[in-house]
Amino acid sequence: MGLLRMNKTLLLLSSGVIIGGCGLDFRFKGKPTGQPINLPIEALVDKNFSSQQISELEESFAWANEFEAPRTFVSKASRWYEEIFGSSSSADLMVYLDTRISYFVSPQTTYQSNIKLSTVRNRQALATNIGAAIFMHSKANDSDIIYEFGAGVIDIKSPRVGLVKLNNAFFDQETSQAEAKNFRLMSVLVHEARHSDCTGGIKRSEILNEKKGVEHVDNSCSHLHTYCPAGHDYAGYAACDNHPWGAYAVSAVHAARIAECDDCSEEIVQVALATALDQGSRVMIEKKLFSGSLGLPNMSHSDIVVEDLN
Amino acid sequence: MYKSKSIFWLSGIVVLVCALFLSSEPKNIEKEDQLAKRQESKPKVVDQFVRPVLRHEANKIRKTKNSHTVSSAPSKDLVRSEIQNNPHNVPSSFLDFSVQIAHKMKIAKADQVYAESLFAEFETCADESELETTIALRAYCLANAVRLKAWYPGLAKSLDELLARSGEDVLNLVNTIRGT
Repeated sequence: MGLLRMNKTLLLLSSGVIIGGCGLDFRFKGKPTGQPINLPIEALVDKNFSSQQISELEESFAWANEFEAPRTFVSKASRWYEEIFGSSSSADLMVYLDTRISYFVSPQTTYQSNIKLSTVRNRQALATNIGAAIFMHSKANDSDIIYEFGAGVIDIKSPRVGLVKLNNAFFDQETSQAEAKNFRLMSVLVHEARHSDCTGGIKRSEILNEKKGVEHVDNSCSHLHTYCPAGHDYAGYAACDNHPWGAYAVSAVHAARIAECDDCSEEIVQVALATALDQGSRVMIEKKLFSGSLGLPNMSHSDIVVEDLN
Repeated sequence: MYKSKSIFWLSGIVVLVCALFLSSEPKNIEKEDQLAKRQESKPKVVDQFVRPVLRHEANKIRKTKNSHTVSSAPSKDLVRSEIQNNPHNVPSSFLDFSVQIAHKMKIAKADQVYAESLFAEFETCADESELETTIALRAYCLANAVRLKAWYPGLAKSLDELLARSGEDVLNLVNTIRGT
């Protein structure tokens, strides 16, 4: 679910091996291909998903595609729903996801031999936006990284490539009610999708920070998480956001609006409320952010490198 | 003839008693499910007949330790251990707790006495000095106390008192995410 500073916490990629060892093969490969799936977005799913996983994914998307969020809001957080997702219509939520997620990598998929994942500390994460992580690494190492997907390849030149790995824990979430499970899966995807945005472009100073393996100062490209400060319940863990409208804020707004649903089941209301409060508690600037004093959510994306070192 | 009839009736009664005995110990959560389903499917009957039954069964459930909200709320240590393994997702103990609360809130919606008892449990859960858990969890209990008050305005005074003694960080979070 989370995306961290990749070189330190999530994955180490050996881009030299990719280009040197396998580059020529990949350059002649065509468009990525996936197995058949019926989703309201145009994302491809790789061949390793089981039929059960495919049907769960289809069911969650079908639920989200038909679920209309309440049109009115109660809380300071849920008032931002339309600013983030375009409207309270499910069609716009699908556009939000479609723009940011293009490929699903299955839990069973081991990374291709050309991509070395030496550490995956966060083994129990429900999902990971690996496209954004690979993009950040490629920038830091000034190299092109190509990801093999089905019969073709994906050239990862932007976090908007939308490559999301779903882990077993994503599908194993237990709940007695199918609707609540659908919400939980969708909430994870709403969060991961935000990591596909490089808001305002990537600063040259942050590329250097990534290369050095030090903490980023500006986390708005790929909306990287940061370590929770002393005194926070999750202190010491990379489980917080300290910049405006990061992935935790976006999933908090999504869940907060659903928690206000009057005609939903009590279970979905409660699960959404718990999700909204947990995700909201990780936003370090929550009071200022949701009161509006930090401005409107910027949901745009840019691939430019901002030269800020002079 | 008379004797064999008596034996027949006697054995029938024994079978019935055994069946009742065997079916009398379902899990609390199943009981709550049944109660909630009854409540949802027959709204008109609830007022006249089911409500007293609900109340009676709710009282029984309330008396059992397992249904106690506070004791089932995940501790801060448990939540932190889950975050250590998986920093980015909502802790599963929190989500499990929310599913338990959903069952209780369904009963509370139809039963004021149960709602008042549940409110008292939320008071304990929201109180920093009573239970060592996370701010998000305390905020969750407070937010549910707010919802109960919306259903039962008679809880207004108790809610005001709870809000007055709640920590600023808990209040801020509830105000932002749910509204008070």
